[in-house]
Amino acid sequence: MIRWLAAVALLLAFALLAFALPAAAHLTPNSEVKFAFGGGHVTADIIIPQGEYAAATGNPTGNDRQSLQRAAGYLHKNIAVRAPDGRNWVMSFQSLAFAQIAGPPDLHAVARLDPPAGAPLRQFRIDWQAIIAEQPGHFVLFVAVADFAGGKTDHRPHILGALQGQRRSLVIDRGDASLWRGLGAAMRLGMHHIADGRDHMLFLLTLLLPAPMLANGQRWPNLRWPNRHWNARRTPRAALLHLAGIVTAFTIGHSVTLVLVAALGWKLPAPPVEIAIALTILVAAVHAWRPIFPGREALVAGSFGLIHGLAFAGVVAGLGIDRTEKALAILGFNLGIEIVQIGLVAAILPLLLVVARSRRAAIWRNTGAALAGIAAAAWLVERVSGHANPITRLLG
Amino acid sequence: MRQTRLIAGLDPATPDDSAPHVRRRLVFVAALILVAIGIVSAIDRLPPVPAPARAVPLRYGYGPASYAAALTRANEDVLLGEERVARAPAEWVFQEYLAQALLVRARLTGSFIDLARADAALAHGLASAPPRTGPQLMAAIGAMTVHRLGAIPALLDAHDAAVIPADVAERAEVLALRGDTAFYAGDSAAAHTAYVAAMRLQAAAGIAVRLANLYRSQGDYAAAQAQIAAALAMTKAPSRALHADLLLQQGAIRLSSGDWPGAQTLFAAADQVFSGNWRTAALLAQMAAVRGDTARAERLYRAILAGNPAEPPPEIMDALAALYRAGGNTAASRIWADRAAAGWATRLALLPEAAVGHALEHELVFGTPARALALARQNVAARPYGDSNILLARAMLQNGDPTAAAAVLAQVAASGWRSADQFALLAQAEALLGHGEAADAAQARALAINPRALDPALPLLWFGTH
Repeated sequence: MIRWLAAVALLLAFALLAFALPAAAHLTPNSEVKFAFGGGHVTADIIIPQGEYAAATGNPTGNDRQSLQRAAGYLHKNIAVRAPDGRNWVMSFQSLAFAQIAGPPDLHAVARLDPPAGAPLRQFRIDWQAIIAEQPGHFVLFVAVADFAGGKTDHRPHILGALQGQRRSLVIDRGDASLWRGLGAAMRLGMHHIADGRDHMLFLLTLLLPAPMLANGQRWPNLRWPNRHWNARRTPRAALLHLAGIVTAFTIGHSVTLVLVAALGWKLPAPPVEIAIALTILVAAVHAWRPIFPGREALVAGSFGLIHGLAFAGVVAGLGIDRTEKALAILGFNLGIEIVQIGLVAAILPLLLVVARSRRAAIWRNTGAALAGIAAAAWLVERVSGHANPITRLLG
Repeated sequence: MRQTRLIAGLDPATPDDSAPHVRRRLVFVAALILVAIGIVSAIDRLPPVPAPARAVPLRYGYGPASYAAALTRANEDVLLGEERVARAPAEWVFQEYLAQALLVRARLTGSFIDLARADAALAHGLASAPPRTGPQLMAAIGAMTVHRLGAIPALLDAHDAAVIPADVAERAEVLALRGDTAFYAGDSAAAHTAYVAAMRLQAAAGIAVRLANLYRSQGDYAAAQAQIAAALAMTKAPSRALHADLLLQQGAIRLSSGDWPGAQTLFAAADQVFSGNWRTAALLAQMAAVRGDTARAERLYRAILAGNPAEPPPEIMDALAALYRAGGNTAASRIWADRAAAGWATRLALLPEAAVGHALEHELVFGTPARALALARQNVAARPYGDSNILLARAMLQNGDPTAAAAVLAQVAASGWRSADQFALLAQAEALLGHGEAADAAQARALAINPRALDPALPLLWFGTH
């Protein structure tokens, strides 16, 4: 009997411990206020969960005029922005609606905040009663999403502070700012992006790989057989000119789309652009192995540069509030890209020229082409399938 | 000749004597691209992708095929136990049998009444047993079930000293229970040592699942999944219930890592393997809710409540109330939250240690901060492990004490606990303290563990994420 009971006990212990339905975090939805600084005012993107708003106020949550007026009135009554000297800022709603942004529906308001005359734009206090006055457990998060003049060029929201329960007042101080600071930050962003953008650099390097050589039909020269009639190389001066042409064409290509897309504020889906970029590397790798567009490298660099520029534009889009800030953001970003690009080409150029004149040039070129092709194929598979593979994990 | 026109300054011997074969080149390039993609795709398939537990094993072993069948059997066992106890109330073996039957039924239904009855039966059994005999092991299991950690070591010591020595399986289980005690006391290292020792004594699925739970608490989801897979592999002919439970555990791990579609698939598979389980239905309901199918979620939650009119689970009422609240239906939300509050009050009166954690979660969402804090402290006193401390930190935040909350969360991190909600909460505490960079860093850690850690739909996930 004891043994039988013990066996049941073992089964039970397993069952009770392992199969209890674990609980979840049981979060209550938060409110969030996203500040964008620039253009002589502050924009506040306010999201309040619709359910929390309804529970706190008992107000209707429709998009009819009366419901929205009550919502606007509630926000005006419960949100105030004040200058350090106590004067009120002007808060005007640019939009207000009950909408489903992500997850359950929200009360979504975009408010323009204008400081009183002479008051600093980057220093203010926000007094917030909305929802937390009625529901002490409610949490309101304040983040900065745009501050070009303050040097913020990433797209991540930066947490400024939060309010909950009896904490109902938050002082915001964004410190000093200038357009030069924004320009410098945009340049650093461009430099980091191109330095981290392995695919962009690999494309350019792969295209440069056979540049000092002159194709003859379907072959690159091979100095192991120097007397073959189809072997040919560019003179150093010609090679330099050709390399400069490729780099310049790539720069013009990506600059054109970068400026156009970013300035016009187009939002392009990233996946097709990323796939196209991987394809450009693959094509360049094949060309480095066997010439498929001999002598037209500059033209191809310019054309493919247009595609790479689309990816750059995705990074710089959204920076800056007004035209001046946007223009400086694009300029700074592009300058940053060019600085790194020129530096890299300058560093690699002597090596390319030396290798091109070596007897093992073909081996080096083919090895480089193969490696670039493998990397490109790996990126292509990853970007099409949506799953990382061992090679892309290795590439980082 | 084209190239000489394009680029000046060529070496003299550069004839261009081959006409471009455009078509051949295009075919060549296309073939190369296809080959390259094929190679990479093949390489991509090389590492074994952790697969979910088999949805349909080749052969099921013992056990009922559905929840209804399992409940029928559990009811019969309880009746038999009651009959035996009625005939000989002083026989501790019969009390133990009844307690075991009640615990099994409680495990199915979630009934606190059955848990309390099992608790009473075990107390009778312990009191009536002669020296060095008695239902100590079952009593330890019962104590673990109702979160009464303090009683367990003495019960296990008594079991070790019993007249009839324990066999190897029992000794392994005793070690595992000591590991459980350490885990819920917040000592993950001691828990790991005990589980590993138990596994060495006799490898068993139950111990593998405990290890999975431990690894999951440390944010090592791959190791947790591997242990669940091992648990299934070491069971030659699993029952449908066991297989379904392992699928639920795998789904819960997917939830913790933010893989909501993967979790949904596993929960649906569990429902297919062992149909009618209301806990599985609850998980499917919440997944419907986060997908935006609130009508289906509401229907499933209401069906669960209608299926158990005698003791409707208050956690389901809470989930339903949260669903209504998210949709702006405040009146319905309040009705169900009030009903849940009554349910938790009843359970707190029956078995306070077992109910306090759940009642606290209700209070944090629908109740008052002061009462939530009081319950949170009781909960930590009962089980001072990571989850309890995270809830305490949440209650502290609601009571306006982010400094204390951050300190508690630092202790949690120091214990080796790693979860997305822990770092998301730390981000809130740091934000309230005005530490923007620390808040950003904590938020980044939360997102690294679970990319959906800040998803606005997260409040609709009521079950299975920790």
